[in-house]
Amino acid sequence: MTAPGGRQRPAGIGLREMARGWRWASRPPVPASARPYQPAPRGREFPTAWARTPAMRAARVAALELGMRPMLDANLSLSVAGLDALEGLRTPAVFVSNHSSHLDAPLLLCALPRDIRDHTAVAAAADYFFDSWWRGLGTAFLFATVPIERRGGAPSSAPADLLAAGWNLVIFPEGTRTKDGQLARFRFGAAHLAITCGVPVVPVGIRGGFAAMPRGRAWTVPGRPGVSVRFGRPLYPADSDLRSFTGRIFAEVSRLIDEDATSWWDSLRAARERPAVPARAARAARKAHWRQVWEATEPVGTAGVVSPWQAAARRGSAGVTGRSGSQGLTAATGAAREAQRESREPDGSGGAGGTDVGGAGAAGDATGTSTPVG
Amino acid sequence: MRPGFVLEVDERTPPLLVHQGEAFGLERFPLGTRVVYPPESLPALADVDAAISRALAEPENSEPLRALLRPGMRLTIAFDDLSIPLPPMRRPDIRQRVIEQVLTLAAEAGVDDVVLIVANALHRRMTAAEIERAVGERVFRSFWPDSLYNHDAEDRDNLLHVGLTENGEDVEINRRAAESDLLVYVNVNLVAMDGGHKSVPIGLASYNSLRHHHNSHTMVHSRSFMDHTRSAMHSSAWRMGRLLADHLKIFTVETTVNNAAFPARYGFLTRREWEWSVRDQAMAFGLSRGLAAMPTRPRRRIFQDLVADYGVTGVHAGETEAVHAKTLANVHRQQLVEVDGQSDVLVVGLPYLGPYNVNSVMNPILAMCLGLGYFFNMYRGRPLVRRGGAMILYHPVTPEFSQLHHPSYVDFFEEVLAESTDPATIEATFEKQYATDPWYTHLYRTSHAYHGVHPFYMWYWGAHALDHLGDVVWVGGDRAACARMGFRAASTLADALEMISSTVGRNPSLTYLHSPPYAIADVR
Repeated sequence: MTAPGGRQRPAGIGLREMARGWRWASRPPVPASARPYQPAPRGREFPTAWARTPAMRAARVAALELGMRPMLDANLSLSVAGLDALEGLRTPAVFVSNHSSHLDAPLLLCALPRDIRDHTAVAAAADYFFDSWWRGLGTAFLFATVPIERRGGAPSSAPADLLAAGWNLVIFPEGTRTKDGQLARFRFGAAHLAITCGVPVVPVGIRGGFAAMPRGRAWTVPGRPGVSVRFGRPLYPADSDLRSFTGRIFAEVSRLIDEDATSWWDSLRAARERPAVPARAARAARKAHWRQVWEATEPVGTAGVVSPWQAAARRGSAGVTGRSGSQGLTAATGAAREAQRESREPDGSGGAGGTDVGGAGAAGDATGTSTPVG
Repeated sequence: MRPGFVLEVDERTPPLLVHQGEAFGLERFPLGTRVVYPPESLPALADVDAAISRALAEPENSEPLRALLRPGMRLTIAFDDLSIPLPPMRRPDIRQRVIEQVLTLAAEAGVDDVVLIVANALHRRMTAAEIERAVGERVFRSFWPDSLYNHDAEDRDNLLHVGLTENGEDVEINRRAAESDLLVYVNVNLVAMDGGHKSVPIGLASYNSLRHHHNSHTMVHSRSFMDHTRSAMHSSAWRMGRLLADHLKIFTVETTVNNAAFPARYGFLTRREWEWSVRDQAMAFGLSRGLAAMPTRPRRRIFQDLVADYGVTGVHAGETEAVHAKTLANVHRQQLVEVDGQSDVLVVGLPYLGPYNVNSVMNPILAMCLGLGYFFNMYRGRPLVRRGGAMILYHPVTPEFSQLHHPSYVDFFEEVLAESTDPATIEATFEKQYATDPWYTHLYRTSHAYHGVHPFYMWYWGAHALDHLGDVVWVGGDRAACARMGFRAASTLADALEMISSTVGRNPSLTYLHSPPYAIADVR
């Protein structure tokens, strides 16, 4: 056998190549296109009816009032606004919010007036919150969650049944928590429910949740970051089709977040310039990832932080809240910012009120004066 | 058993295994590259001997073999040579199992005149050891050397011109086979190209007969070799086979094997990379580094000593065409992968072994044949790469030749390719001279050399690809050897993509055919 020169031979596989390729530090990943097909689970839904019995409702009130809310107070600076928009709300209704973090459901439930909250269930991803019995039991008890399927397949009848039974429903139509703090495309489920069941949609904007507990964190960031929950006026489907109604809901949630950061008037003007279709809006507003995260983690409020003890004292002195007015959960009001807002909102009639959840609003009034809290 | 599938490379995809002759490496393909994975191995038949027995007793469109055997008859058993399966299968070879059962029936029927012939056509003569490995010690000791031998396509006295097909093609095969009362052909069907009428009319033929279908014209019009209904080469062989069937009773036994192309300890070679265990990763790393550090001779020994754990998935016997239909269904069940559309670039990693370098060296011409002849043609419907697209092949293309097995290849490489690389030009100018060269003929008949015309046939195998492709680049290939063959060599995949950008643009779509084990892309 002849073997003329110039022969080449591959150098062999490098150790670093192997380590990086198979990610020795973590579990080896599977390419997306190689994952086995998993049909949507059918036939058996996690039972949650027990969590809506009177006894469980009473237990939930106790758990939220005595456990969850003090814990939120201790770790976050909360403000709730726009509760006056819920005056005269025709229940049942679908509460539709952006999904900024795992804090959203407890925040929203704590922010709701008690008579509404007592009959409010939260739609939660079946594949995440109900993948084990202990997680399913826990969330069903604390938040009255019902499982919904987000991987396709036959839609569950549970949400529609709940609305028919007079229960309100909280839905996060993005389907998952935000990855960069920005509002993602809304799925059609919430609008579909509202149209088919003939119920109103109450838009809710939550701001600061992403910065307080972004994906990957199991607890809030230290320093009691500010988080605000802002309710908007109910939207009625009327003759809207699914797509356009989803667009309206998206626009309103987006505007509420904007309103919380600026003012009602500014948000109205900005909304007029913003494209109505969510996907198009998202494309139009596409920025570098770091800019999106940067914007989303901008601290909510700038004033000094009030201790939870002070906040509790204020709540105690204020008594039982009404639905109107504007009240800071922690009353950590930035005076300078409030003055600025008051100058922008001469009469506060834009539904931009804020209310202490479950407490009398120290700063609240019938006209719904905004009280953003830092 | 999971079917084959097409992976789309994403951020989670680990580097993928790429064969590079007597070595292999890992390659990170650009995001979005499609990777065609063959189906996993079908389960093997639990009782192969029972399956053979059943096939012989209940054949397709034929009387049982037992009924065809009688005292005083001339029985010839021909069987495929060492070019299939690849790598050679673990003993006992399926040919041995079938031949032993055929001979048992013949002995029971009182048949005395039995001859076994290796259907090697213009391939090199198998050595005694290679034949013994294929047929087993018992058969070898009973018949070697007088009644068990290699077919000699240059032995004029032992060839018989049976006739002409309707297209005027000469049908000339081994005289002993042609004049037998019964010819039993024992086949191993590794890919869809094998078997059917390709067995007798080609395996036992002479150059005079083979030249009608082994030429640049039929090869260009064989689209592909893996689909005999659309292959001009197979159409010619089918015409010859039907003519032969009118003159001669042929009882065909075809067998199919699964995709267990490597021994279990080299499982990483057949496993999907993201499923590699720590042991697989360690094996891949250790083996590749060890091979890279090893001198050529022991490295080659390691590869040539590999035997596959092939399991038999089907045995069918009877009339050739009826049997082949069943065989093809088995092959397709094991190898067919549905692929959606063509791409701009096809990437393949060529392994150390092709049909013509068993126990030998893969020279540049054989590498070209393996890449552009075989892997390019692993499709049904349309090629994996669009017309005018590019093909990137991984192989060292070392200009190294076995003087024992491939003497005419040396001259073909040095003389013929220096003149032209166009198959039709080469055929018209040089083929006759090499086919009739007395020295090559002498080596073919008495030594273990491929016939003088064989390198031409290898070049013709690539004719369809050469006609179809706009560019061919060899990653890691010897530059001078590639240039001699009219191709270009690149050091890395990135370089290769840069080089073909003038043909397919800056953002071409890529398909990597992850093979072996073998997969036939059913391109829709």
